[in-house]
Amino acid sequence: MNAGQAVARELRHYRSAVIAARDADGYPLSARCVPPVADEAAGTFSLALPEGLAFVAGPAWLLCHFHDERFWSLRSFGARGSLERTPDGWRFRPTTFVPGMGGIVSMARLFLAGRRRARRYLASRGLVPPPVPWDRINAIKHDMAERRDVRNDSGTAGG
Amino acid sequence: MTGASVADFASVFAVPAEVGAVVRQFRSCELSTLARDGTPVTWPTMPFFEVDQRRFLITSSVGLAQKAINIRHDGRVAMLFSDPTGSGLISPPRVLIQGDAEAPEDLAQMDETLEPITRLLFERQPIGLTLVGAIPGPLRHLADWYCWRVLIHVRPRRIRWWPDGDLWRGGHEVAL
Repeated sequence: MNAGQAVARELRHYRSAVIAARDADGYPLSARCVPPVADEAAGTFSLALPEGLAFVAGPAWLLCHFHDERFWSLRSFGARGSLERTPDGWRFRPTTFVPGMGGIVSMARLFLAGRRRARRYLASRGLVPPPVPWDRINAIKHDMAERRDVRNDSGTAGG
Repeated sequence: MTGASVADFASVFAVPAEVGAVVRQFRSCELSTLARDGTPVTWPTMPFFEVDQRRFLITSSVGLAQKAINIRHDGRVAMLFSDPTGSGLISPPRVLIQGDAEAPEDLAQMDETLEPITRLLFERQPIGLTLVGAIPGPLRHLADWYCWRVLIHVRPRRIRWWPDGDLWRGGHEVAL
């Protein structure tokens, strides 16, 4: 499966997408848009973008992500590619599909890769990580849980 | 600090209160950094506006530090606030902040800077309370890497917003 096919397969799960490219000053510039429409023959995705945003054609990234009201059920993917200007408007041409979050397998993969990369990051810089203050983190956790319980109790009483 | 009022971001940068509310209430923004080949790389992240410093603070685990590595090479970034899920805001403006970022090599410590962020994270992502509690004590060292964090500071240079999130209507802009 090539990058375009992988993007097309994943796009079905999202109601919108974020396209990022650069502006005339070289800064990243991004916008949320409706999911781009695949042109399988051309290997591109057409984008509905207003002219006033001032995108410059060139390297680009497509992101789709989702979280629920409680910032959970995380799901995402990215795609590296290019933003092209055509007479019909803007098109994104993906070159690399980048998996993100989505389900327990991806979380496990992220966890294991994160550990590996963390060790490499520290080793390459000669950094010694500080001890993690789990007691302090747990104290914060308990405090937050108690506050939430109090709020819930108040809501019940008031209702 | 982290618990900024609605007016704080708005008053600091002379933008409407609705724009400040987006910065305060949104659960995430899409942060774009630049890879070495100039390609923007965009992933969701959780920013915290530091009123006193007039800048955003973003933390990243050293296991997910590519954004910090990108910033050390080229500090130009963009933060798009475009997903209101969980914010409680109805028809908020869409907000794009372009700015200049720094990502020092030093590892962050759990101090007065990170503690309020940890609290806010637990508040906004309550399942985190459950997950932290689910890791048995003897196994917590396996998750240490997630707590070894680098700090990213973003100083806004241009703020753009579109009322009601409608990009097809004219937007507004403040250059800093």
